[in-house]
Amino acid sequence: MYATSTQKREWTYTPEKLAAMRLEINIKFRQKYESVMQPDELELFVTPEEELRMQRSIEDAALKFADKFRPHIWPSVKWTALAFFKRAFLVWVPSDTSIRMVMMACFYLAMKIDEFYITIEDFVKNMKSYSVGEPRQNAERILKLEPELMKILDYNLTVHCPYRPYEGHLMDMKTRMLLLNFDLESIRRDSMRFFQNALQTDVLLLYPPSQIALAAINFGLHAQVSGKSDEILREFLRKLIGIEEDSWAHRDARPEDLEKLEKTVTRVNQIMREVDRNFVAVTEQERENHKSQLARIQALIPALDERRKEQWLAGGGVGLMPGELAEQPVDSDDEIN
Amino acid sequence: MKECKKCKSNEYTNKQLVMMINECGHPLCKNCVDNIFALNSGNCHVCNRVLRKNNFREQIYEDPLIDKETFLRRKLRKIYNLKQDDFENLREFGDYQERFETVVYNLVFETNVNETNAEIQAFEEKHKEQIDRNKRRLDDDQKWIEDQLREERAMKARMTDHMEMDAKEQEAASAVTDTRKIMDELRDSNVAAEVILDRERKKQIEKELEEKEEQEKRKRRNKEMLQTRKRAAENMSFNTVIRVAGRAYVHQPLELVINGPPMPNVSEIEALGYLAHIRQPTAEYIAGGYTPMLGCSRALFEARIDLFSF
Repeated sequence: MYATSTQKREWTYTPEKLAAMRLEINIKFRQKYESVMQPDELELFVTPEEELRMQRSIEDAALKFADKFRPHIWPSVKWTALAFFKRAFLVWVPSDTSIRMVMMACFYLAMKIDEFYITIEDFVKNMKSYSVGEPRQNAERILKLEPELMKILDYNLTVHCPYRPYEGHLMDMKTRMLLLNFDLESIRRDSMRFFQNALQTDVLLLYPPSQIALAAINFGLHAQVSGKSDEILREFLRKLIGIEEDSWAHRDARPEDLEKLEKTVTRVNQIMREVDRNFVAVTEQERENHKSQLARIQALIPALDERRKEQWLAGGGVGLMPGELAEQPVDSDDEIN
Repeated sequence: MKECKKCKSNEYTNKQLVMMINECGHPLCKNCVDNIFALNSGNCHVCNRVLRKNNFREQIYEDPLIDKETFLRRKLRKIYNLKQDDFENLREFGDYQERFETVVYNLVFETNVNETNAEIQAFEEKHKEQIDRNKRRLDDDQKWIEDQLREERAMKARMTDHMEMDAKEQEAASAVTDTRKIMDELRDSNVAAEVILDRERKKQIEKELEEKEEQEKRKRRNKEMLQTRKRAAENMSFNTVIRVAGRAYVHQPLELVINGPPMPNVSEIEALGYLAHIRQPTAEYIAGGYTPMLGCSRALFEARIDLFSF
């Protein structure tokens, strides 16, 4: 249940907090290498906004990968994988991780979590369209990343997806809204498009799944009967909460119910706006730019680490050697001592 | 569970409970026997038969009937001790054995007791000679058992002999090397002989002390173990002791905070027709315990949870 989940406790933020966290990891990364970089290399640093766009282009590619995946995966795997991915990049920065492989590890882990069982061999066979590389090598990298990823996620592996709440809302509507003059199933396609777009925004780090699901319903209604969607939503919520038709009398009896209704409508519209505004399809040009930019900084990082080591030695070797891990890398087979 | 029918004491209330039984086969505990038969004879509390105190014996088997039967068999075996070679052919021997079983049955279940007793007496008189002769003779089965027992004893004796011999040999071997070494040392080294001997003696004494200590320790441990076991047995309680401590538990039903619209209950889901909008499960799903109600309420619940969390 979402209300008591780690998702709500640990991984749901306000937009401001989210931006602050992203800025913080960006600055941390910059500080780590700034002192050893040549002036002409400094342009390789990216802003948090650019980093976010990099994530988006990977997400875009990953969703295409997911749609081509055979056997067909169910949508909650996609949602879970992208939730892992977004959470992981609140700790890591794209510049010093192999971001594509992280995405694949997220998918592989999500399939396990969502009980969509597939062997690593079958999984890497599906990667042809997504990335180059030897299948065996890919498998090794994914399996190596998996425990590290779980550690970053603090082993909070359950992700509450909005797909089941969506079915719940739809069922509620079909049962209670008997006077609609169209088939409610017809909104499903648009709603699924909404979910697909929402996956490339931050909504899953901001709102409970039941609200996202209701936003998807509203999006579908809007596409179907554009003028009346808001009215239908209000009517639906009134029936759900149990507000009488004569709302003036009800207002006196239970004022908080009407307030809830208004707030829910506002929230649903807010989520829709959020998706509408923040979902910007990644262009081919953009993707290429990100690719080359990432490749350049990632190629430079070994050299930078070398320089930091030199600097450290020149400074008298105080403290921990840069690049040396404070703790041992995690291995899934390690026992806790 | 053993229980005295007379005084109602049982194994749990009295750990030293000993059940006694007399020829009529109605058990009594030892205390009751001592009380009722203080004057050496009295009536059975169940069947009113006149019993004598010194005919009471300890009950071995839980079932008094079986106890009675084994007792009777043992007694009758002294009279009915004819062997197969006392008979002319196998059939007669079979008849004799069958008759014996009938006699036992009669006595155990107390049918035709008088006639049976008369029959036994007649049999005893008729075969007096044979019975006397057979008292010392063993039949094949008994012989076989004796043989087995003898063999087992012999085997055990052999084993202990072997072990003792081995131990002795080992001891001898170590002792020999030791003495040889000491002698070598005495001859070769230029330390005073007394010093060497002293050292060796000391070593030996230490060794002995160590062994002694070890043995004592083992003894103590065994004793402790026994004691703890005994204590545990004493402390074990089968009475229901009601301890009164703290406040009484008051059950408060758990409240599920949905933070969303109210959840319809099972009958409402059925009445409102929710189930028409969910895929009907296949026979395999139903056999596995899945009902459409389950999926339905799960979706509805997840749609409601935290819908009003702003």
